[in-house]
Amino acid sequence: MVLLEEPIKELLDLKNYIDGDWVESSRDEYREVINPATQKRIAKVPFSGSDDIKMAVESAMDAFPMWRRTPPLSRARYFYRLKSLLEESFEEFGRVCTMEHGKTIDESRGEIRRGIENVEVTTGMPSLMMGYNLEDIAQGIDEYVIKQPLGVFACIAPFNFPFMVPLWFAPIAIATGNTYIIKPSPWTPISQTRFMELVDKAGFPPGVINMVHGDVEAVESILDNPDIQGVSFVGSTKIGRDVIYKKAAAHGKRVQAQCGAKNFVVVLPDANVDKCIPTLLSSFFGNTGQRCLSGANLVLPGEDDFNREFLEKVKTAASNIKIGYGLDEKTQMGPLQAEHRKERVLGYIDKGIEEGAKIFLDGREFKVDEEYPETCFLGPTIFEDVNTDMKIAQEEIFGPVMSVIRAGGLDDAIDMINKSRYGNAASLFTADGKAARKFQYEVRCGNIGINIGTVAPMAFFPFSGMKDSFFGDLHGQGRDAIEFFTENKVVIQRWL
Amino acid sequence: MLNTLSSLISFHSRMEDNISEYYISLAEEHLPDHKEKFLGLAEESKRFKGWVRRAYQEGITDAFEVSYIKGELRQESYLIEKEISTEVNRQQLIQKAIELEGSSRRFCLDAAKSSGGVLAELPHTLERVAKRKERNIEELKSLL
Repeated sequence: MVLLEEPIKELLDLKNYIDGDWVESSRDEYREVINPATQKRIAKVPFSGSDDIKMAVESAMDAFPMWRRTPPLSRARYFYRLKSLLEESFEEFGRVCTMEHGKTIDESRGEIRRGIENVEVTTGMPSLMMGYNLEDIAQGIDEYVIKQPLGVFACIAPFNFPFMVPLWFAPIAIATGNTYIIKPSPWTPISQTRFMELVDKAGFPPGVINMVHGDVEAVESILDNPDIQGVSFVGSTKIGRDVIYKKAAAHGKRVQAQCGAKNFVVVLPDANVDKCIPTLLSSFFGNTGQRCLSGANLVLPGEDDFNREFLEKVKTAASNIKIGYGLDEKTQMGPLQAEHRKERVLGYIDKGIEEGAKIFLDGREFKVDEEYPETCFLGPTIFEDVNTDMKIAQEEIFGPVMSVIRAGGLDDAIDMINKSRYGNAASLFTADGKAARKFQYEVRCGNIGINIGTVAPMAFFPFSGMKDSFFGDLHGQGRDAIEFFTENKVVIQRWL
Repeated sequence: MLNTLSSLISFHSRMEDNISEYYISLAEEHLPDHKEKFLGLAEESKRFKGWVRRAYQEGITDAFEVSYIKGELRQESYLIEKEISTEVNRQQLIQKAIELEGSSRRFCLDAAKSSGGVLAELPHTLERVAKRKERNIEELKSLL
């Protein structure tokens, strides 16, 4: 076994980045960051308090007047520089991401690429934030709309895409003239810290972009701070709806909270089975199932013969997935990010058995190479004979578990999807254009895949979501993001 | 076993590095009468490595079926030794170069098939490299 070289060689002592400086947290409280594959300590991250958030907000507020007056083209040029620096460090970022999260090196590189794409989109800001106008709305009177930044924004980032998710928000916020605070996940804080090193190297003026590590207290301070105009969040529905959305809205902030999911993947008998199966594996088990776009419920509306044969092929393919350390290039699925996440998934597997689902492939039986502790490793699990009354079909498991549900036909499948409380993503595999159109038209989910298993919108499209999967009015990425981070100022002008 | 995109790309890089080093040793030591030709081929191998790596790095995303290539390739099927034993003649040296290019061409075509459902640019790039290697093989044959 040949491992790619680990870029983190000694315990990192992470600091906050405020006002262009690396600063210690005001609180003497830390958490250890553990490599989930090896269980080795790789960093310690501070749990910052309200004073640290206050300091970051003050810095961002001080920087705002200067930054909003910086021409959009000049602002965009910082991002050109940042993009070059990110490309130079592409491989290092990928390996850091694998070490802190556990995902495979291919998955990490994919995440880094997606994050960089968000930076690339931002370089087009001079065109993207143009307003519009009309002459002679009445004789001699012109009217126009200009887009203006608002001030300080913040994001509360999840553990599962530690590099990419803050970049769904921060680059557009900053390029439109706002200043920013990133609060990374305390479980996977290293890649964002490294990102800040490049932000510093790219020469962004002090205060324009800040980073404060922390947990609950830092989040509450962000929500309570009256000078933060808006908050972007990615995480569970429980926190997103009941804490972030409610509190932020109560304080008059703009909010975009991208939350939980339970995604249905429907496979019709006319689907291209050979091409479908690798796609399904990636959808259900990629990132070890720890993504809001993961397939969760596989719906088969076809005849029994097709379904049986199809499932056997899925099972064979899933059985051959190689689990291991993500820096081993043979690894196709890494560990779950932390021990308590594995325990949670195991709890759902027990629940599924208790509810009467049949275990078709048992992920608990997979073994990882002896040199790695079993702590966070779990193989793919497939349940059959699942129905939509079961908890395993309703609740987000966030792990490598596929629940197979039989349906009476496409209408039945669509009905199932629409009855779910979640509305993040849904996919259909078919060769029938009419069925595809019906599916995209009728399904109440924000991100629809036709012969695509993981419906991740590109940086220039919004990351949609409906029902309990999204709270707010404007999504991250794309034109939505530009609207979220700016206000439309209407000017009616006459020269007498 | 080459069962992920990452392992395919790493193997291809090692392969092109080996081929490049082989050509350099031909150019500088064993067949200096064709120095320019072999140095050109060495340089080209490095370029192929860059093409394939860039197609992968710039095409890979977090969403499009990143890890699961179709089937596995066995790297033993493409083992390429760049070492030259002491008593080989000109004919044997050129023949080995042809075998190296042939093996590498075969790998590129197999890897293109395996990664076909995954990244659009990568199979196309691998096929482009395979085509160039076909041309190299013909040119090497003319030196025999």
